[in-house]
Amino acid sequence: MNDHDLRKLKQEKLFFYLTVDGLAETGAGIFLVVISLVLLKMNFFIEDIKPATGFTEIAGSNAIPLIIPLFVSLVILKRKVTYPRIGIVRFRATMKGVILVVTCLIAVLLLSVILPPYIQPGIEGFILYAFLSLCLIVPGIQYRSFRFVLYGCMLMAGSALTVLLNTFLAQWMILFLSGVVVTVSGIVCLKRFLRTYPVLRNEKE
Amino acid sequence: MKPERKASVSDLEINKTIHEPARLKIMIYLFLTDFADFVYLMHQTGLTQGNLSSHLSKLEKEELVCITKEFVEKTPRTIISLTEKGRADFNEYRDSVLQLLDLSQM
Repeated sequence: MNDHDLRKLKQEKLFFYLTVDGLAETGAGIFLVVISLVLLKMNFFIEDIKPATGFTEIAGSNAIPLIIPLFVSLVILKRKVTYPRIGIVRFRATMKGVILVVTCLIAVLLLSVILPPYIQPGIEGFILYAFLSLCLIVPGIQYRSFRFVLYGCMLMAGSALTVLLNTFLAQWMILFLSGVVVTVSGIVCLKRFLRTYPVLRNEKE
Repeated sequence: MKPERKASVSDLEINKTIHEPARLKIMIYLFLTDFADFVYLMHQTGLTQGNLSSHLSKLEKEELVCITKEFVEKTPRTIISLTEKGRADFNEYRDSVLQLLDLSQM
């Protein structure tokens, strides 16, 4: 077993460990649904108001107060639901992995904040979503987790439709439906996880 | 000047503690991590509680792993990690096996 095999095994185990319970997806799905409901309340698309700021910016500004409670809930649920079932592990971080994550974050930051004033409106969102969808599709194929391929394709198709249709109603529908699909998929995963991994009692040593 | 002698199969030493299949699995999973708990190792290796426990004791006796016990919300938790010696020995074991495989292909 050489270094390459061990690295591949670690990545596979890490991906499995982070996604097997479906909690992160459920959280992400709820996040999208809540954002879309907040936008629904704001009546932007019903009255067809087109403010200077775009859909992504409005959705983003409303998302910020939601992130912290969702993250805290995720941590608590992981502690109560996931860890007693599949245990706790901390994978060794390699310099290459850290560089990859930092590069991805910088790319997202560039696409979402720095580039928009310089390129055609709508295109920056499409590039950003295309990049994010690739971040879902590639590991999905690599680790044979096809629900991630589905999320990636959905994100790609949604972002293309958003650019093509360019109405708040269409954008809102895509956001809401994506949220529902991801939430349902996450809940199904969570249910399967709870059935497959019962809590182990009487740990012997 | 004597020509340098190539390593032969008989020169290679394989660490027998690590070489046992169940312990090798444990060592591989611990090598990938900073630490893991008993439940995680049990799921990954497919060993039973008693079996895993006895293999861990053997590895601990050889100072290849470090085992610490703690209580989290009145529940016992056993955290296992590789020691420096364990990491070095595992690397050595890997090198030996790779060399052995290379020699077998000659």
